[in-house]
Amino acid sequence: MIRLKLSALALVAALTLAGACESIGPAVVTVNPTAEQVALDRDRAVKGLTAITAGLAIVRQSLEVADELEKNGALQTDVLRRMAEGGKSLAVVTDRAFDFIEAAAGGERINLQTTYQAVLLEFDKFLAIQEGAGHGTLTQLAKAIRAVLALMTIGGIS
Amino acid sequence: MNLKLILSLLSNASSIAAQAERGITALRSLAEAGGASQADVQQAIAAGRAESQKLHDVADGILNRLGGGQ
Repeated sequence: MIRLKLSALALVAALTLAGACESIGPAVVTVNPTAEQVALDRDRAVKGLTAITAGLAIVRQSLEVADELEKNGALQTDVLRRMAEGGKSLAVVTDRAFDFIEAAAGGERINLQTTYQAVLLEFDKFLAIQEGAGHGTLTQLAKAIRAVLALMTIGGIS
Repeated sequence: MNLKLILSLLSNASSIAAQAERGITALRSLAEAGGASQADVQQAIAAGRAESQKLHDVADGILNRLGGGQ
């Protein structure tokens, strides 16, 4: 039942968000941006940030599930430790991304693509650990994370 | 797998669905509005920071329990 819920969740999230994110495209840094360019960058920034935030939430849920599994002897302690360390690194990288985007606000064009690529790379590192754990529930949660993050590549933002 | 763990996993699945729904709702509103304002960017950053802090807290809690430190 959990697998069905998580699979359905990943599919619904991907299809619904794909429609809303169809205008996301790569950001090119230029000088003297027009008002329209600034507005487009803000649009892309919010959509990307929303996807990242949703991904972080599921990563947190994954850690909570992994923690319970380890306590019940269903997950190796070493795997949980590596997942927690990976989650910590991911949080640090996304914090830096938020700092960069916030500092660049105010009319300047920002290189969202580079910023998001760094974040997605860190997500990939975490997901490699989670998927390598070989536990069905963690694998399904990893799929949900990938489904949300895939929305950033559909429009070419990453 | 004991009942407590099953209930915990089901609870997590519902929470995940709720979080995804909030994300979907946010993006729909954004698409319908025809573009983000600076306030929207700030709000998105604030939401991201809040979620990142939760992740920090959970990760730190696990590492402290395992003796890995921060």
